[in-house]
Amino acid sequence: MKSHVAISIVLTLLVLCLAGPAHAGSCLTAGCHADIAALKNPHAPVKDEDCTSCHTQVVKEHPVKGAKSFKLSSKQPSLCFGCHDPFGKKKFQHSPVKDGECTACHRPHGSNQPFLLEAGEDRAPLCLNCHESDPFKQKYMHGPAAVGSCNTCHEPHESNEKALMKGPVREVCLKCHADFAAAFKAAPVVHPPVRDDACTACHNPHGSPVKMFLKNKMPDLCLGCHKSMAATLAAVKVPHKPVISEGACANCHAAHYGKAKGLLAADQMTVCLGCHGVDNLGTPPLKNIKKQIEGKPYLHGPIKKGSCKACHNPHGSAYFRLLPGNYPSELYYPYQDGAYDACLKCHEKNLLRFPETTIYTNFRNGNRNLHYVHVVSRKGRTCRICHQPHASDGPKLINKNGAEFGEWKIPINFMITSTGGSCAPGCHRKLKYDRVKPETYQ
Amino acid sequence: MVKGISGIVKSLKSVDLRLPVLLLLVALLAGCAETKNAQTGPVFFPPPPDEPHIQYLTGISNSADLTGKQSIFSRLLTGGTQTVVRLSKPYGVAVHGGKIYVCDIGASQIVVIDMVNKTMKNLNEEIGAAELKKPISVTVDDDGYVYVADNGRKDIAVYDADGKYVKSMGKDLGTTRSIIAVYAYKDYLLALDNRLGEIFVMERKSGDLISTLGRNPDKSKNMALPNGMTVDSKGNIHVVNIGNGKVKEYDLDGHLLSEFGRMGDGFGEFTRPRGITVDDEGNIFIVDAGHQVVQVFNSQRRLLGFFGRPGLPAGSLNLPAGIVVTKENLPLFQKYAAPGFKLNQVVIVANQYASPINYSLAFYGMGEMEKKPEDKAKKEKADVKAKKPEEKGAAAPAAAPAATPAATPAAK
Repeated sequence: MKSHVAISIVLTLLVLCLAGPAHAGSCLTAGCHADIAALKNPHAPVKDEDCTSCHTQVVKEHPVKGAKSFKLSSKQPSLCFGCHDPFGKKKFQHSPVKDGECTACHRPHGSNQPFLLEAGEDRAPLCLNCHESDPFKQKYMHGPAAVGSCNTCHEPHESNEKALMKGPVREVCLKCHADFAAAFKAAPVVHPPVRDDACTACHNPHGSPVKMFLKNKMPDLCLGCHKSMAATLAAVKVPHKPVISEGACANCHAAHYGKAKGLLAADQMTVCLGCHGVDNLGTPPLKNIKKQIEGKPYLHGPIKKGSCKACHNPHGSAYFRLLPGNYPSELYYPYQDGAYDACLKCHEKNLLRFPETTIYTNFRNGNRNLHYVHVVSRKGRTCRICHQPHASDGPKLINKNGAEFGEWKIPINFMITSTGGSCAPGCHRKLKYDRVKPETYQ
Repeated sequence: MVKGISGIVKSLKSVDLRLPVLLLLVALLAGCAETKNAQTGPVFFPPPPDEPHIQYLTGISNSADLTGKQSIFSRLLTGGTQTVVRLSKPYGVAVHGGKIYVCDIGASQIVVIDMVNKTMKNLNEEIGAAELKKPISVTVDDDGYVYVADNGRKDIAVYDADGKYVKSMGKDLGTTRSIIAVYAYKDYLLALDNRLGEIFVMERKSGDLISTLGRNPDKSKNMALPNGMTVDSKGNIHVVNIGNGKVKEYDLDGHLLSEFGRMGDGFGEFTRPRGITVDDEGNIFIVDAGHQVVQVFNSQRRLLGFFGRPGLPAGSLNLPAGIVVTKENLPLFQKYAAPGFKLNQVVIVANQYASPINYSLAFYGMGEMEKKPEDKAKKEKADVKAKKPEEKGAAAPAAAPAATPAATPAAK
């Protein structure tokens, strides 16, 4: 009798062992699925040795050589959604998510990396299995793209933003670039795309062959929006060097925000004198305009207003010295209609048209137009022979110590009276002029 | 005329027929007014569907037109002897201090129309040296002195700001003294002699001759039967020439600065150019008594359009002569403008003859239709679209410049 009881107990235990979860314990511990047991980050059911939450035994024998005795309880993704919240509530799904292929990215039993992924912090090996790798092999790379931290900007499963962005592009960018966000919000002048648009309007967020991973090189990138400037630059015959140098637009303009109009780092004249206020820039060196202006009591009108571009087009021009109109490059050039447009755009346009006048100039003897005498002759003297274009220490922009004439500072010795004046230049003997009582010249 | 009607009314006092006669006259005059005002809507130039730039506003032929509801008879009873009832044959016209000065050749008077106080009076009614014969052009200087070129007197009669006769000028000028236009500019008085084809520049206070313009050895630079003159805000003189259809621009030294125009019956051409005026923006208005229109050119001498052609039920011209443009009293004229048509200046043209469809003085308003809110929104949308073409993903072409032909540069 005792032996019957003992056999019954053993059989019962055996049945229980075969039918209950106690059977799973043997999956990992029996040494058959040791590789799964060795995973650093096992899937939660694996960790709990709950193999049957996903697998169902269909054949009594296990293992069976050449056949399977377990199958999945159901197909993915419904199997996964048994425990995980299902996707599809947001506007855009990652393609494998949409196709229900969770295992395209995740290892179902576990992984040595987080999130059941095969890739670690550097997700590039995983993501670039499907995605084109060229954008990630560029000379200039955005930090997160460079280290494969795709998930810094992108959601892996689904998002309400295009490209599975973690939020609106600007917000995603500014979450990291918080210092930049604070700075441009405080800036007096902000580039409209920076203020209103996605950063990707100008930058490739992954990488680019252009510095700062810009979408295109400058100035082409800028000219994409600034179309009238494209037309201006196309017509340029005399270029401004910074525009055609590396950096192009950025040599004068800030790309994001600035302190002054035109996204300049400072007021117009300060920016210009940054280069044109030194002695040793260029070969031959650029003239030091700062020195020409400093301390001078008489300034040319536009300079008085702090404007260089009233006379010089900073983007280049079809005319000598980046001027806005014709002005002779030669020192001597007899006046013709249109030849002095750069100056006569502001100054009296009839100044040099008539030998006699009572209207267009005070530099006359009686009604004889002495500007006409000087400029409308075979040896037409350009304005700069007598007048300084930027500033002078004498009235009428005529320097007291003379004007540059090759190596000689040619004296002018210009004097003004209430009805006329006189000159005793290095050009001719002292001659007076008077509007009311004309001088008679011998 | 005034005395005549006053006399009739006075003589009627003795018999009790005054009221019926008055009523009859009122009915007759009301009938005339209805004819002139008969129109179906605002008269725009250019006409719809083009964007309007000029609107014919109203006109004045007599004091009733000026005072609106007030009848001609109440003016007679209250206006005194200087009240003018009707413009007879207007020619030159000028504006100063909110008043309009009209040369009435028919009445041998300068009629001063005060648009604000709604009065219409003769400038001067003195007997003798002050009397005008054939006043053809009038101008007012910065001090309010009125200069009248009189083809009958062969001089320039000068009156002070109160209309009191001051002196005669110009009798010692040239040989013909056929002065048909005068213009006071700053310290100068300019007088155009159409037979000599010369302009006399005088010191306006002393009357001293400073210079005579139009004696260039190169005769192509001189005038050819000049028929109208004005001076623009820069001090440049514009003269229309009936001899060759050219409009010439001179400076005060007499240098020819530019010229344009020719005889003909095409757009921008002239047959009998007369009055000329230039607005502050440099637009040039030229009356043509042949075509009976006013042609408007911009400062680049490009024809902008014309207004007042004959044969219209309203807004036409009838032997037009003088013209002047003003920005004074705009609110007074705005009430005549069509809803939404915002005036920026008013052009006054003198018709030599009033008719059932023409007033002696015709008022045209220059302006533009105010944009409706939805049009503004459309424009803003279009601007944004033009600004950001790449956002639509389309390779939008660069904004094409307005398809306007290059303005013809002024001949130098």
